[in-house]
Amino acid sequence: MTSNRLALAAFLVALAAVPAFVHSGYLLHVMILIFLNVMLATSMWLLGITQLISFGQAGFVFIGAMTSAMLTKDLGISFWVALPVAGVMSALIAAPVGRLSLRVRGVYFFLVTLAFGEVVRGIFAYFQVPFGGWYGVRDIPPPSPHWLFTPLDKVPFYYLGLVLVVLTCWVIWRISRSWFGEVLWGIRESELLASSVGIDVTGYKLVAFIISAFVAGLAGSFYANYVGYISPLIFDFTYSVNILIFVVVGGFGSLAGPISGAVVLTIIPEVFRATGKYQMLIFGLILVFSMLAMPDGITGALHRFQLRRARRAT
Amino acid sequence: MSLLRIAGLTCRFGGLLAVNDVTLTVEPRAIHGLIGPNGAGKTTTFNLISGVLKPTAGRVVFDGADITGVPMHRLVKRGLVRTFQHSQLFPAFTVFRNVLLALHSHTGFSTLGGFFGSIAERRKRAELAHEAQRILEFVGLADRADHLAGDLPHGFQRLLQVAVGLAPKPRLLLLDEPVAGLNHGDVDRMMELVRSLRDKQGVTVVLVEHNMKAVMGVCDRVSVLQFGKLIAEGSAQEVTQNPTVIEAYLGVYDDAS
Amino acid sequence: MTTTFVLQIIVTGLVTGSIYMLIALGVTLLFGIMRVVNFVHGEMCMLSAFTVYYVSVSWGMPFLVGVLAAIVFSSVVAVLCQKLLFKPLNYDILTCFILGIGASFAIRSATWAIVGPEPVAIPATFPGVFVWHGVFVAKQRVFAAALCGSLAVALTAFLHYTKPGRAMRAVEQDREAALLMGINPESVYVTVFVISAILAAIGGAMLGTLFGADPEMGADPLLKSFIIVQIGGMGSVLGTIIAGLAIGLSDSITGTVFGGELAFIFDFAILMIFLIVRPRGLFGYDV
Repeated sequence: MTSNRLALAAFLVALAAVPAFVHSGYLLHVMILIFLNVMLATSMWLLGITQLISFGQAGFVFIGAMTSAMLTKDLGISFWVALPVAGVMSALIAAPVGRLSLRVRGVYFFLVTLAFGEVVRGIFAYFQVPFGGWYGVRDIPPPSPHWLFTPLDKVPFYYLGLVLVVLTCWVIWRISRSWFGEVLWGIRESELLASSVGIDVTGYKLVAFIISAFVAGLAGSFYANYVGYISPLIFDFTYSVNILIFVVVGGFGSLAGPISGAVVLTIIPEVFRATGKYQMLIFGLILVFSMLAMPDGITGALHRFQLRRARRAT
Repeated sequence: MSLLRIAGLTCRFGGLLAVNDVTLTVEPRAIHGLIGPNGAGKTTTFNLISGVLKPTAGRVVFDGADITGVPMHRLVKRGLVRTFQHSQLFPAFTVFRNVLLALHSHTGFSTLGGFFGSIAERRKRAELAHEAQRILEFVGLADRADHLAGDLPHGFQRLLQVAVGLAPKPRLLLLDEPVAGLNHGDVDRMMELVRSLRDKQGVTVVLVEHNMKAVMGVCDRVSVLQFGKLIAEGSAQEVTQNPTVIEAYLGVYDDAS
Repeated sequence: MTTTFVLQIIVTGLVTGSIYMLIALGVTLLFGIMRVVNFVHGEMCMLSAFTVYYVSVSWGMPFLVGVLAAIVFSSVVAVLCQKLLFKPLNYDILTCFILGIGASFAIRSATWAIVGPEPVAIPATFPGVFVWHGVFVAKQRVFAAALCGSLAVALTAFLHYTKPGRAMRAVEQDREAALLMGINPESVYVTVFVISAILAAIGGAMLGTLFGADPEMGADPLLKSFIIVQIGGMGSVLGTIIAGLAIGLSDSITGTVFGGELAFIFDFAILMIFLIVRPRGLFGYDV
């Protein structure tokens, strides 16, 4: 256990030291994208423990982004206030949406959340005032203090992203190991049995849904004030599916799954930056082959590989 | 006052009357059997009582309170727990962890404490672990506590079902075919366990069963269902000598005797 | 707000609604009988529209041949999905859903790569307009509605009066009992996939003649189908028919009053209301 902790600490120190050695704005940007995607993937993973996938996460990210954009740009409120408010806003909307979505059987949950994502897009796109319509919102101010966060220097954003992602991962990890998480794992194993011992399955699923929406809201807020521009074209169904792919390809077994999935699958499209639409083709194929060949994801396959090696050694 | 009373319980699926106007009463600390040939509606009745299904008509009264249609997870807090015909387990969890999670409903855990590992939470966890150990010992699974539930042989899986059912400290336990698929030795062990559930833990038990020998050996009263209707009720002796019951069971009765 | 105006909205709504209804029927069949959602359904509509375009417009074959080609193509795609994607994963709901999404992305992307992003128009087989009580209806639309309507009726008849149809309903109600009665599930499954493909194909072809074909056109009917099926009740043919027409009407009304984009939001709002008041839909079984 201690060796794991040392490794983790070393890894975090390494991450913190990156900007000292890497000066390319582009590479730092990719790292920041990775941080964002890891946040989204881990929160999707928590919900996914209960075998639920929300196909409308893009909607919650967008809500968080829009909240933050409007608060910081139109109302001049500090980003540091807007950030938690964005999370709360997404969570507040997630409550009724989740409640309704959970009234229907598994597949229909997916579909309702999918539709929700589209509706968020639709609403923000339709009302140009105050949401900017299809043109979106530009010139979203970076966080204060303004001498630190300028659009030109990625480094402060890097550290902000690093703090956010480490916090998110830590909290989600603690949750998954807590009593609440234990119940989630039990629900995964057998909802019927869980119900029969007094667990309000729907209630727990709802809480997990709200938590994942909250994190999505936070991520959205960070995105808005980092990139400075948001629009309905960004947060579409493909965006939600991207998040899903991180988790599916990474594996469900542990937190390492979504993290590795997000890292790998943020880097790959940057490598193949050729065209946007081919990206969809590749993603589609990755999804298909992942599901067929590696239903447990990368971490699952690695785990099985390790088991096989251990067995051969004995 | 009776612990469980169902009156006129009816369940209709489209054109099919799975349970037809069933009435029955269970006294506290009794062991009550619910028998009948396949398809008689026994499990459906359990589903109706335990909130898995909503009845088309009729009422279920538990300890004086009307619980008709109350969902299963809320009944647990009131003291009503059921087990399932096809073993429901948390297969990837160990036996110990299965029971531990089942103790959930009595934890009063603050989830916040759970998130951040407060001292109070750690103490509670220790208490629960202790309780889980006690239950496993009572049921006879203590030496398999760290086996994976999914890997257990069938007989022990059904014991685990009972252990899990005991965890929330029920006053009434509905056991759905507890000895299904068990060999003779296991059947006896299970019946012994059922008896001690009542004797040592004060739990009232209602069993659905096919195995006549098991039923006879352990039940105080027996209700017989056929095609969803109650056709006989009485002591085990009375019921097995009832000609209507024998006729309903023709063939099955012979196998079990 | 003249009667003509209102009638115009209603007629347009019913016509588009009947097409969506047909496509949704494919979804409801597949879900009702096999408990599986095939995300590729939307792409089958899209591929059919393009097939009709290439066969009938580019190669100049008769429209009917184009539609038949579309039907064949869709059926092939559907059977491929069933054999290569769904069956190996045992029709597990979640994995099949994800697989379907992946496949649909890939197909959409590949189509875009081949035909380009610009929509193409398919000229009407029945050009011209009917005028009825001052209401203008394109003859093509009437044809589309008539075709979809009669297919819906044919489907209902098929399910209730033919042997394979009844076999399908048997499997829907109780898979094990159907097996015991000697019904071969595999052939039923393939039939269901093919039928839903045919419905998607014809629906897609009709959409193509009315609105043109473009690689992204499959998403909208698919989403609408899900809403329709949920409102009508999963696995209920009658429910899908009614809900399909209702959604068509709703779209027409909101589209005229508020503008196109809000239409989907209204559909979603209706869905939400149903979820609150009657989660099983109009005619669905108890959830």
